[in-house]
Amino acid sequence: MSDLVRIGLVSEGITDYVVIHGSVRSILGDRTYDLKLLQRESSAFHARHFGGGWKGVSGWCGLVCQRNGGLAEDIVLDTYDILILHLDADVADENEPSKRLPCAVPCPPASATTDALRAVFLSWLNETTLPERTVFCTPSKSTEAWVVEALFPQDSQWKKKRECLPKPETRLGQQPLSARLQKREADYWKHAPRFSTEWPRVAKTLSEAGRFDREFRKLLP
Amino acid sequence: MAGAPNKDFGLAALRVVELGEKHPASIRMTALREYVIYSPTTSVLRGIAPETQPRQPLGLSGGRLPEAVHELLKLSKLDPLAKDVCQDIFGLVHWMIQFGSSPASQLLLSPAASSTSHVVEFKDRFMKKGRNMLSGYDASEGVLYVLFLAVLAVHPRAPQFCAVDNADHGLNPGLAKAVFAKFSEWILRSNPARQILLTTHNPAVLDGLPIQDDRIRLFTVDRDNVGRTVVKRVEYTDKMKKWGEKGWTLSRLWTNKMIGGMPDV
Repeated sequence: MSDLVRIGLVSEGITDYVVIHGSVRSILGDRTYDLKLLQRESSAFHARHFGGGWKGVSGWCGLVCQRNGGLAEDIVLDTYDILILHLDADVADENEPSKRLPCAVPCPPASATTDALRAVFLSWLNETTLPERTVFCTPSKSTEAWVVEALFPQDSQWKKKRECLPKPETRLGQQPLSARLQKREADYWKHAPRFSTEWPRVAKTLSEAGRFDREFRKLLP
Repeated sequence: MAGAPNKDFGLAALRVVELGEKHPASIRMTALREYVIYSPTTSVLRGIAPETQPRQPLGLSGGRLPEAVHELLKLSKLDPLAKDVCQDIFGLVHWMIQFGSSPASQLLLSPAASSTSHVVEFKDRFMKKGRNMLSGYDASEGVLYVLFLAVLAVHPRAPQFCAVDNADHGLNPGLAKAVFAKFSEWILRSNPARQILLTTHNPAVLDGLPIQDDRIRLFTVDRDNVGRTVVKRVEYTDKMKKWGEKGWTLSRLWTNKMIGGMPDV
Protein backbone atom coordinates (compact mmCIF):
# COMPACT_ATOMS: atom_id res chain seq x y z
CA MET A 1 0.00 0.00 0.00
CA SER A 2 1.35 3.40 -0.94
CA ASP A 3 1.94 5.95 1.79
CA LEU A 4 1.98 8.77 -0.73
CA VAL A 5 0.90 12.03 0.88
CA ARG A 6 -1.23 14.11 -1.46
CA ILE A 7 -0.87 17.79 -0.70
CA GLY A 8 -2.73 20.70 -2.22
CA LEU A 9 -1.16 24.13 -1.91
CA VAL A 10 -3.32 27.19 -2.37
CA SER A 11 -0.69 29.81 -2.95
CA GLU A 12 0.03 33.22 -4.34
CA GLY A 13 2.51 32.07 -6.97
CA ILE A 14 5.02 29.66 -8.37
CA THR A 15 8.02 31.05 -6.48
CA ASP A 16 6.13 30.53 -3.22
CA TYR A 17 5.43 27.00 -4.39
CA VAL A 18 9.15 26.30 -4.84
CA VAL A 19 10.00 27.56 -1.35
CA ILE A 20 7.14 25.76 0.39
CA HIS A 21 8.03 22.66 -1.61
CA GLY A 22 11.46 22.82 0.03
CA SER A 23 9.98 22.87 3.51
CA VAL A 24 7.53 20.07 2.74
CA ARG A 25 10.37 17.97 1.34
CA SER A 26 12.40 18.49 4.48
CA ILE A 27 9.52 17.70 6.80
CA LEU A 28 8.50 14.56 4.93
CA GLY A 29 12.04 13.22 4.58
CA ASP A 30 11.83 9.80 2.97
CA ARG A 31 8.07 9.81 2.64
CA THR A 32 6.76 10.19 -0.88
CA TYR A 33 4.40 13.00 -1.65
CA ASP A 34 2.69 14.81 -4.47
CA LEU A 35 2.46 18.57 -4.00
CA LYS A 36 0.15 20.43 -6.34
CA LEU A 37 -0.23 24.18 -6.71
CA LEU A 38 -3.91 25.13 -6.68
CA GLN A 39 -4.84 28.42 -8.26
CA ARG A 40 -7.95 29.93 -9.69
CA GLU A 41 -8.49 29.09 -13.36
CA SER A 42 -7.50 32.01 -15.54
CA SER A 43 -6.98 33.10 -19.12
CA ALA A 44 -4.14 35.16 -20.51
CA PHE A 45 -6.69 37.78 -21.57
CA HIS A 46 -7.60 38.45 -17.96
CA ALA A 47 -6.09 41.32 -16.04
CA ARG A 48 -2.51 40.58 -15.02
CA HIS A 49 -2.01 38.01 -12.27
CA PHE A 50 -5.70 37.13 -12.22
CA GLY A 51 -4.92 33.59 -11.12
CA GLY A 52 -1.97 34.51 -8.92
CA GLY A 53 -1.09 36.91 -6.13
CA TRP A 54 -3.24 37.35 -3.06
CA LYS A 55 -6.18 38.27 -5.28
CA GLY A 56 -5.80 34.93 -6.99
CA VAL A 57 -5.94 33.21 -3.60
CA SER A 58 -8.98 35.26 -2.66
CA GLY A 59 -10.57 34.36 -6.02
CA TRP A 60 -9.88 30.67 -5.41
CA CYS A 61 -11.65 30.98 -2.06
CA GLY A 62 -14.57 32.65 -3.82
CA LEU A 63 -14.89 29.69 -6.19
CA VAL A 64 -14.85 27.26 -3.26
CA CYS A 65 -17.68 29.20 -1.63
CA GLN A 66 -19.64 29.19 -4.89
CA ARG A 67 -19.26 25.41 -5.14
CA ASN A 68 -20.17 24.41 -1.63
CA GLY A 69 -20.70 27.46 0.51
CA GLY A 70 -17.38 26.93 2.27
CA LEU A 71 -14.19 24.91 2.41
CA ALA A 72 -15.25 22.21 4.90
CA GLU A 73 -17.54 20.46 2.42
CA ASP A 74 -15.49 21.08 -0.68
CA ILE A 75 -14.29 18.32 -3.00
CA VAL A 76 -10.73 19.58 -2.71
CA LEU A 77 -10.55 18.01 0.75
CA ASP A 78 -11.50 14.64 -0.76
CA THR A 79 -8.66 14.92 -3.26
CA TYR A 80 -5.82 15.87 -0.93
CA ASP A 81 -4.64 14.45 2.38
CA ILE A 82 -3.45 17.89 3.45
CA LEU A 83 -4.40 21.31 2.19
CA ILE A 84 -1.94 24.17 2.73
CA LEU A 85 -3.38 27.67 2.64
CA HIS A 86 -0.63 30.15 1.91
CA LEU A 87 -0.78 33.92 2.16
CA ASP A 88 2.09 36.31 2.79
CA ALA A 89 1.74 38.42 5.93
CA ASP A 90 2.22 41.64 3.96
CA VAL A 91 -1.19 41.05 2.36
CA ALA A 92 -2.46 42.42 5.69
CA ASP A 93 -1.30 45.87 4.51
CA GLU A 94 -3.54 45.86 1.43
CA ASN A 95 -6.34 48.36 1.40
CA GLU A 96 -9.33 46.34 0.20
CA PRO A 97 -12.22 46.74 2.65
CA SER A 98 -14.44 44.34 0.70
CA LYS A 99 -11.86 41.65 1.54
CA ARG A 100 -11.60 42.77 5.18
CA LEU A 101 -8.20 44.35 4.53
CA PRO A 102 -6.09 45.96 5.87
CA CYS A 103 -5.68 43.99 9.07
CA ALA A 104 -2.01 44.61 9.88
CA VAL A 105 -0.87 45.34 13.43
CA PRO A 106 2.63 46.36 14.55
CA CYS A 107 5.41 43.81 14.27
CA PRO A 108 6.86 42.25 16.45
CA PRO A 109 5.35 39.92 17.19
CA ALA A 110 4.85 38.59 13.67
CA SER A 111 1.96 36.48 14.89
CA ALA A 112 -0.11 39.55 15.74
CA THR A 113 -0.58 40.28 12.06
CA THR A 114 -0.63 36.69 10.86
CA ASP A 115 -3.32 35.78 13.40
CA ALA A 116 -5.46 38.62 12.10
CA LEU A 117 -4.74 37.58 8.52
CA ARG A 118 -5.65 33.97 9.23
CA ALA A 119 -9.05 35.14 10.47
CA VAL A 120 -9.51 37.14 7.27
CA PHE A 121 -8.45 34.12 5.20
CA LEU A 122 -11.04 31.98 6.97
CA SER A 123 -13.72 34.57 6.25
CA TRP A 124 -12.88 34.34 2.53
CA LEU A 125 -13.55 30.60 2.83
CA ASN A 126 -16.78 31.22 4.72
CA GLU A 127 -15.41 29.36 7.74
CA THR A 128 -14.82 30.35 11.34
CA THR A 129 -12.45 27.53 12.20
CA LEU A 130 -9.92 25.73 10.08
CA PRO A 131 -11.41 22.56 8.55
CA GLU A 132 -9.59 19.33 9.37
CA ARG A 133 -6.51 18.36 7.33
CA THR A 134 -5.97 22.03 6.52
CA VAL A 135 -3.02 24.15 7.60
CA PHE A 136 -2.09 27.80 7.25
CA CYS A 137 1.25 28.94 5.90
CA THR A 138 1.69 32.65 6.59
CA PRO A 139 5.34 33.74 6.24
CA SER A 140 6.12 37.15 7.65
CA LYS A 141 6.44 39.45 5.80
CA SER A 142 6.56 37.17 2.78
CA THR A 143 7.91 33.83 1.63
CA GLU A 144 11.11 35.66 0.70
CA ALA A 145 11.83 35.95 4.42
CA TRP A 146 12.29 32.17 4.42
CA VAL A 147 14.49 32.44 1.32
CA VAL A 148 16.71 35.09 2.90
CA GLU A 149 17.04 33.10 6.12
CA ALA A 150 17.84 29.94 4.16
CA LEU A 151 20.42 31.50 1.84
CA PHE A 152 21.73 34.65 3.53
CA PRO A 153 21.26 34.28 7.29
CA GLN A 154 24.21 36.61 7.96
CA ASP A 155 22.81 39.52 5.91
CA SER A 156 23.15 42.52 8.22
CA GLN A 157 19.94 44.29 7.18
CA TRP A 158 18.03 41.08 7.52
CA LYS A 159 19.39 40.29 10.97
CA LYS A 160 18.13 43.62 12.34
CA LYS A 161 14.44 42.86 11.89
CA ARG A 162 14.05 39.40 10.37
CA GLU A 163 10.30 38.59 10.21
CA CYS A 164 9.42 42.25 10.72
CA LEU A 165 11.59 43.48 7.84
CA PRO A 166 9.30 44.88 5.13
CA LYS A 167 9.91 43.61 1.60
CA PRO A 168 12.51 40.96 2.41
CA GLU A 169 12.74 40.20 -1.33
CA THR A 170 14.89 43.32 -1.73
CA ARG A 171 17.68 41.50 0.19
CA LEU A 172 17.90 38.85 -2.54
CA GLY A 173 19.37 41.33 -4.98
CA GLN A 174 21.62 43.00 -2.39
CA GLN A 175 24.10 40.16 -2.14
CA PRO A 176 27.51 39.57 -3.73
CA LEU A 177 27.10 39.21 -7.48
CA SER A 178 27.72 35.48 -7.53
CA ALA A 179 25.15 34.79 -4.82
CA ARG A 180 22.31 37.16 -5.62
CA LEU A 181 19.07 35.95 -7.13
CA GLN A 182 15.90 37.39 -8.52
CA LYS A 183 12.38 36.52 -7.51
CA ARG A 184 11.73 34.29 -10.47
CA GLU A 185 10.98 30.64 -10.85
CA ALA A 186 14.22 29.56 -12.54
CA ASP A 187 16.38 31.19 -9.85
CA TYR A 188 14.30 29.64 -7.10
CA TRP A 189 14.48 26.14 -8.58
CA LYS A 190 18.27 26.44 -8.65
CA HIS A 191 18.22 26.96 -4.89
CA ALA A 192 15.43 24.49 -4.15
CA PRO A 193 17.74 21.88 -2.58
CA ARG A 194 18.93 24.47 -0.05
CA PHE A 195 15.39 25.53 0.83
CA SER A 196 15.00 21.94 1.92
CA THR A 197 18.33 21.35 3.67
CA GLU A 198 18.16 24.67 5.52
CA TRP A 199 14.55 24.24 6.57
CA PRO A 200 15.16 22.85 10.08
CA ARG A 201 17.23 25.94 10.90
CA VAL A 202 14.74 28.30 9.20
CA ALA A 203 11.90 26.72 11.20
CA LYS A 204 13.88 27.15 14.40
CA THR A 205 14.76 30.79 13.70
CA LEU A 206 11.56 32.21 12.24
CA SER A 207 8.40 31.95 14.27
CA GLU A 208 5.99 31.65 11.33
CA ALA A 209 8.17 28.99 9.71
CA GLY A 210 8.24 27.08 12.98
CA ARG A 211 4.50 27.42 13.33
CA PHE A 212 3.92 26.02 9.85
CA ASP A 213 6.39 23.19 10.56
CA ARG A 214 4.57 22.17 13.76
CA GLU A 215 1.06 22.49 12.39
CA PHE A 216 1.89 20.63 9.18
CA ARG A 217 3.52 17.72 11.06
CA LYS A 218 0.39 17.31 13.19
CA LEU A 219 -1.66 16.62 10.06
CA LEU A 220 0.55 13.92 8.61
CA PRO A 221 -1.41 10.72 8.03
CA MET B 1 -13.27 28.61 -58.93
CA ALA B 2 -11.62 25.29 -59.65
CA GLY B 3 -10.50 24.85 -63.20
CA ALA B 4 -11.11 28.48 -64.26
CA PRO B 5 -8.08 30.30 -65.70
CA ASN B 6 -6.49 32.83 -63.33
CA LYS B 7 -5.55 35.91 -65.36
CA ASP B 8 -3.33 37.22 -62.53
CA PHE B 9 -1.28 34.07 -62.25
CA GLY B 10 2.42 34.91 -62.28
CA LEU B 11 1.94 38.67 -62.12
CA ALA B 12 3.03 38.90 -58.48
CA ALA B 13 6.21 37.01 -59.25
CA LEU B 14 7.01 39.39 -62.11
CA ARG B 15 6.37 42.45 -59.95
CA VAL B 16 8.69 41.12 -57.24
CA VAL B 17 11.53 41.00 -59.74
CA GLU B 18 10.96 44.68 -60.49
CA LEU B 19 10.70 45.70 -56.81
CA GLY B 20 13.93 44.11 -55.61
CA GLU B 21 14.34 41.60 -52.82
CA LYS B 22 14.35 44.09 -49.93
CA HIS B 23 10.98 45.62 -50.78
CA PRO B 24 8.33 44.70 -48.15
CA ALA B 25 6.15 43.15 -50.85
CA SER B 26 9.06 40.97 -51.98
CA ILE B 27 9.73 39.89 -48.42
CA ARG B 28 6.06 38.99 -48.04
CA MET B 29 6.15 37.02 -51.29
CA THR B 30 9.18 35.09 -50.11
CA ALA B 31 7.42 34.31 -46.84
CA LEU B 32 4.38 33.08 -48.76
CA ARG B 33 6.52 30.99 -51.07
CA GLU B 34 8.12 29.30 -48.06
CA TYR B 35 4.80 28.76 -46.28
CA VAL B 36 4.43 25.25 -44.95
CA ILE B 37 2.03 23.41 -42.68
CA TYR B 38 3.69 21.43 -39.91
CA SER B 39 1.94 18.44 -38.50
CA PRO B 40 4.30 17.03 -35.91
CA THR B 41 3.86 13.41 -34.91
CA THR B 42 5.13 11.75 -31.77
CA SER B 43 6.93 8.90 -33.50
CA VAL B 44 8.94 11.26 -35.72
CA LEU B 45 9.74 13.58 -32.81
CA ARG B 46 10.94 10.58 -30.82
CA GLY B 47 13.15 9.56 -33.72
CA ILE B 48 11.56 6.15 -34.15
CA ALA B 49 9.87 6.88 -37.47
CA PRO B 50 11.48 8.53 -40.49
CA GLU B 51 10.59 12.03 -41.63
CA THR B 52 8.85 11.83 -44.99
CA GLN B 53 8.86 15.59 -45.65
CA PRO B 54 12.28 16.86 -44.55
CA ARG B 55 12.91 20.58 -44.28
CA GLN B 56 15.32 22.93 -42.50
CA PRO B 57 15.34 23.36 -39.56
CA LEU B 58 12.48 20.91 -38.94
CA GLY B 59 10.68 18.42 -41.10
CA LEU B 60 6.95 18.86 -41.48
CA SER B 61 6.35 15.91 -39.15
CA GLY B 62 8.95 17.08 -36.65
CA GLY B 63 11.98 15.32 -38.10
CA ARG B 64 15.45 16.67 -37.42
CA LEU B 65 14.42 17.76 -33.92
CA PRO B 66 17.68 16.61 -32.27
CA GLU B 67 19.81 18.67 -34.65
CA ALA B 68 17.49 21.68 -34.33
CA VAL B 69 17.63 21.45 -30.51
CA HIS B 70 21.42 21.42 -30.68
CA GLU B 71 21.29 24.55 -32.86
CA LEU B 72 18.85 26.21 -30.48
CA LEU B 73 21.19 25.65 -27.54
CA LYS B 74 24.12 27.03 -29.51
CA LEU B 75 22.06 30.04 -30.47
CA SER B 76 21.06 30.63 -26.84
CA LYS B 77 24.67 31.60 -26.09
CA LEU B 78 24.45 34.51 -28.54
CA ASP B 79 20.84 35.49 -28.87
CA PRO B 80 18.86 36.92 -25.88
CA LEU B 81 15.52 35.60 -27.16
CA ALA B 82 16.90 32.09 -27.65
CA LYS B 83 18.41 32.28 -24.17
CA ASP B 84 15.05 33.27 -22.66
CA VAL B 85 13.27 30.56 -24.64
CA CYS B 86 15.65 27.92 -23.28
CA GLN B 87 15.11 29.27 -19.77
CA ASP B 88 11.36 29.23 -20.27
CA ILE B 89 11.50 25.58 -21.34
CA PHE B 90 12.79 24.64 -17.89
CA GLY B 91 9.89 26.56 -16.36
CA LEU B 92 7.46 24.58 -18.50
CA VAL B 93 8.94 21.15 -17.86
CA HIS B 94 9.79 20.86 -14.19
CA TRP B 95 11.10 17.32 -14.22
CA MET B 96 13.90 18.27 -16.61
CA ILE B 97 17.15 19.90 -15.51
CA GLN B 98 19.00 19.66 -18.82
CA PHE B 99 18.19 19.00 -22.44
CA GLY B 100 20.20 18.55 -25.61
CA SER B 101 20.92 15.95 -28.25
CA SER B 102 23.38 13.11 -28.65
CA PRO B 103 24.29 10.43 -31.15
CA ALA B 104 21.75 7.64 -30.76
CA SER B 105 24.61 5.20 -30.19
CA GLN B 106 25.61 6.96 -26.95
CA LEU B 107 22.28 6.44 -25.23
CA LEU B 108 20.73 3.32 -23.79
CA LEU B 109 18.52 2.91 -26.79
CA SER B 110 17.99 -0.10 -28.96
CA PRO B 111 19.41 0.53 -32.45
CA ALA B 112 16.19 -0.99 -33.72
CA ALA B 113 14.18 1.75 -32.03
CA SER B 114 15.98 4.68 -33.54
CA SER B 115 15.65 5.70 -37.16
CA THR B 116 17.89 8.76 -36.79
CA SER B 117 21.56 9.25 -36.06
CA HIS B 118 20.88 11.68 -33.20
CA VAL B 119 18.22 11.73 -30.52
CA VAL B 120 16.99 14.36 -28.10
CA GLU B 121 18.12 13.73 -24.55
CA PHE B 122 17.04 14.98 -21.14
CA LYS B 123 18.37 14.89 -17.62
CA ASP B 124 15.66 14.03 -15.12
CA ARG B 125 15.40 16.00 -11.88
CA PHE B 126 14.24 13.06 -9.77
CA MET B 127 16.11 10.00 -10.99
CA LYS B 128 19.37 8.82 -9.48
CA LYS B 129 22.42 10.83 -10.55
CA GLY B 130 24.36 9.09 -13.29
CA ARG B 131 21.27 7.17 -14.34
CA ASN B 132 19.01 10.08 -15.04
CA MET B 133 19.50 10.56 -18.78
CA LEU B 134 16.40 9.97 -20.88
CA SER B 135 16.15 9.94 -24.65
CA GLY B 136 13.35 11.41 -26.69
CA TYR B 137 12.24 7.82 -27.05
CA ASP B 138 11.57 7.48 -23.31
CA ALA B 139 10.45 10.96 -22.34
CA SER B 140 6.87 12.13 -22.18
CA GLU B 141 5.76 13.34 -25.57
CA GLY B 142 4.72 16.77 -24.29
CA VAL B 143 8.31 17.93 -23.88
CA LEU B 144 9.07 17.02 -27.49
CA TYR B 145 6.25 19.24 -28.72
CA VAL B 146 7.49 22.04 -26.45
CA LEU B 147 10.95 21.79 -28.03
CA PHE B 148 9.43 21.63 -31.50
CA LEU B 149 7.53 24.90 -30.90
CA ALA B 150 10.58 26.54 -29.33
CA VAL B 151 12.68 25.80 -32.41
CA LEU B 152 9.94 27.07 -34.69
CA ALA B 153 9.74 30.31 -32.70
CA VAL B 154 13.42 31.29 -32.73
CA HIS B 155 15.48 29.24 -35.16
CA PRO B 156 16.91 31.58 -37.81
CA ARG B 157 16.02 29.16 -40.60
CA ALA B 158 12.45 28.54 -39.43
CA PRO B 159 9.93 29.95 -41.89
CA GLN B 160 8.63 33.44 -41.24
CA PHE B 161 5.13 32.34 -42.13
CA CYS B 162 3.86 28.85 -41.42
CA ALA B 163 1.13 26.83 -39.75
CA VAL B 164 1.11 24.11 -37.12
CA ASP B 165 -1.79 21.71 -37.34
CA ASN B 166 -3.09 20.43 -34.00
CA ALA B 167 -0.47 22.39 -32.14
CA ASP B 168 -1.77 21.13 -28.79
CA HIS B 169 -0.76 17.53 -29.46
CA GLY B 170 0.59 15.65 -26.47
CA LEU B 171 0.13 18.51 -24.02
CA ASN B 172 -1.81 18.19 -20.77
CA PRO B 173 -4.19 21.10 -20.09
CA GLY B 174 -1.83 22.91 -17.73
CA LEU B 175 1.11 22.62 -20.08
CA ALA B 176 -1.03 23.52 -23.10
CA LYS B 177 -2.02 26.80 -21.47
CA ALA B 178 1.49 27.61 -20.30
CA VAL B 179 3.17 26.65 -23.58
CA PHE B 180 0.93 28.83 -25.70
CA ALA B 181 1.29 31.77 -23.33
CA LYS B 182 5.06 31.44 -23.78
CA PHE B 183 4.83 30.70 -27.49
CA SER B 184 2.82 33.91 -27.96
CA GLU B 185 5.56 35.85 -26.15
CA TRP B 186 8.32 34.22 -28.20
CA ILE B 187 6.64 34.91 -31.52
CA LEU B 188 5.88 38.53 -30.62
CA ARG B 189 9.54 39.06 -29.75
CA SER B 190 10.96 37.28 -32.81
CA ASN B 191 13.10 39.30 -35.17
CA PRO B 192 12.51 39.22 -38.07
CA ALA B 193 8.80 39.09 -37.30
CA ARG B 194 7.07 35.76 -37.75
CA GLN B 195 3.48 34.84 -38.33
CA ILE B 196 2.27 31.43 -37.26
CA LEU B 197 -1.17 29.96 -37.76
CA LEU B 198 -2.16 27.35 -35.21
CA THR B 199 -5.12 25.03 -35.04
CA THR B 200 -6.26 23.53 -31.78
CA HIS B 201 -9.03 21.40 -30.35
CA ASN B 202 -7.89 21.84 -26.76
CA PRO B 203 -9.76 24.50 -24.74
CA ALA B 204 -6.78 25.00 -22.42
CA VAL B 205 -4.73 26.43 -25.30
CA LEU B 206 -7.11 29.38 -25.48
CA ASP B 207 -6.37 30.26 -21.88
CA GLY B 208 -2.76 30.88 -22.84
CA LEU B 209 -3.57 33.37 -25.60
CA PRO B 210 -3.36 37.08 -24.71
CA ILE B 211 -6.01 38.11 -27.22
CA GLN B 212 -6.09 41.63 -25.80
CA ASP B 213 -2.94 42.08 -27.88
CA ASP B 214 -4.18 42.75 -31.40
CA ARG B 215 -1.28 40.76 -32.85
CA ILE B 216 -2.64 37.56 -31.30
CA ARG B 217 -5.81 36.70 -33.15
CA LEU B 218 -8.23 33.94 -32.37
CA PHE B 219 -10.68 32.63 -34.96
CA THR B 220 -13.41 30.06 -34.60
CA VAL B 221 -14.47 27.86 -37.49
CA ASP B 222 -18.02 26.58 -37.89
CA ARG B 223 -20.20 25.26 -40.69
CA ASP B 224 -23.54 26.82 -41.52
CA ASN B 225 -26.81 25.04 -42.32
CA VAL B 226 -25.73 24.27 -45.89
CA GLY B 227 -22.26 23.18 -44.91
CA ARG B 228 -20.29 26.30 -45.74
CA THR B 229 -17.31 27.09 -43.56
CA VAL B 230 -17.83 30.15 -41.37
CA VAL B 231 -14.78 31.80 -39.83
CA LYS B 232 -15.22 34.40 -37.09
CA ARG B 233 -12.64 36.37 -35.18
CA VAL B 234 -13.00 36.35 -31.39
CA GLU B 235 -12.23 39.95 -30.53
CA TYR B 236 -11.29 41.37 -27.18
CA THR B 237 -14.21 43.71 -26.63
CA ASP B 238 -15.46 45.55 -23.55
CA LYS B 239 -18.02 42.82 -23.19
CA MET B 240 -15.31 40.18 -23.30
CA LYS B 241 -13.36 42.12 -20.69
CA LYS B 242 -16.41 42.13 -18.42
CA TRP B 243 -16.82 38.36 -18.80
CA GLY B 244 -13.19 38.05 -17.81
CA GLU B 245 -13.71 40.19 -14.73
CA LYS B 246 -16.51 37.83 -13.74
CA GLY B 247 -14.01 34.98 -13.84
CA TRP B 248 -14.94 33.46 -17.18
CA THR B 249 -12.00 31.95 -19.01
CA LEU B 250 -11.74 31.69 -22.78
CA SER B 251 -11.80 27.91 -22.47
CA ARG B 252 -15.10 28.04 -20.60
CA LEU B 253 -16.53 30.55 -23.07
CA TRP B 254 -15.60 28.15 -25.87
CA THR B 255 -16.98 24.99 -24.29
CA ASN B 256 -20.21 26.84 -23.42
CA LYS B 257 -20.59 27.81 -27.11
CA MET B 258 -20.28 31.49 -26.36
CA ILE B 259 -17.58 32.31 -28.87
CA GLY B 260 -18.40 29.86 -31.68
CA GLY B 261 -16.31 26.98 -32.97
CA MET B 262 -18.21 24.34 -31.04
CA PRO B 263 -20.47 22.02 -33.04
CA ASP B 264 -23.55 20.30 -31.66
CA VAL B 265 -22.57 16.76 -30.83
